[in-house]
Amino acid sequence: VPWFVIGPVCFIATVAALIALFRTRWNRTPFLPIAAVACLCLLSGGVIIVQRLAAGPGQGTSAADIFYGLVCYVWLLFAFMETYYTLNTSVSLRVVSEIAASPGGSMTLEELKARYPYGWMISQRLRMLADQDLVRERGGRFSASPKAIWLSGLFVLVKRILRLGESG
Amino acid sequence: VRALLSGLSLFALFLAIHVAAFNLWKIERRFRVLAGSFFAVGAAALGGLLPAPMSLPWQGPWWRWEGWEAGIVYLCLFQGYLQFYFLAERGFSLRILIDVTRSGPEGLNTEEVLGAYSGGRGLDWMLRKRLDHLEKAGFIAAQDGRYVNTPFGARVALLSGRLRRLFNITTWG
Repeated sequence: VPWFVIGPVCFIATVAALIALFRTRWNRTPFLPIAAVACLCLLSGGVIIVQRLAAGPGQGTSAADIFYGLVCYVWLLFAFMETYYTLNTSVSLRVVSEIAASPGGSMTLEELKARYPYGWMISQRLRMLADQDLVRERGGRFSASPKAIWLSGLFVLVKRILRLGESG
Repeated sequence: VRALLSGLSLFALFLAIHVAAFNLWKIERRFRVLAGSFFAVGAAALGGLLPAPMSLPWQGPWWRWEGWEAGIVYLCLFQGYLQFYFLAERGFSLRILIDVTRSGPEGLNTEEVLGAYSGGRGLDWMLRKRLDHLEKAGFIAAQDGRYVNTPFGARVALLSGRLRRLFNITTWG
């Protein structure tokens, strides 16, 4: 089986499984989608390797096709993750969607802020960061966890290397 | 192995060009430079303008050319890097995390996070920056103090709504 078939077929199977998973009550469990992808990777890899072994020496899918199939799969998965996280967390996409949903299809800045309040935006993100143990809440104050300190340090360094400024 | 080396070296060249460009010039539209560097390196490799192992000669039937394999490695690395880059460039949660980390062990409350955002520029700056980008990219237009979606923006909103329903995303933004 050539790599350009292996990658997309495994990807379609993964996305179908993820869509089914997103519709269950575990939808919001952190890291479950990642665990599901890892299981599917192992499963599809296992099927291909078994098929290769069963076909006998010199036959079946080559090691190169398996490797580049995996690379193709990872590329598609990166693109999917980018789309998924954009749908989930993008401020810009939320703005466009709020304008589309508004009566008359137009909004002033003040109307936008009323529909998409700053306080809600911040508390939503802080809760997400707390779920991932990146911030810890004590008495209504949020401080960084040790994991967050090195992660922030890493990205501050990247921002400096790329001269991105404060940004955000 | 040749294709893998080719893909890796193409990505290294792209990264060197992109980092150099970002450091040498003050760039307004960074993503254009990023994507431009990616396509320029890819096109130079396709045209055989780069030395081995970056450019691979056409050999055998076209569907078995090693260049496709090098291309998928290059594309995969670029896609992964893009996620990392966008997180560093405009990650909203990451920005909050950096501000919270800078506040030290005392931390910040929600109101203080609002004011401290992006080194004290605040959320008004963040929202105006997003609106400005959306306008420049042709998603929205400002008319008499009101923002409206362009036909392209309206299509994006419609598609994103459908995808959110498909992925069962109920709380977002």
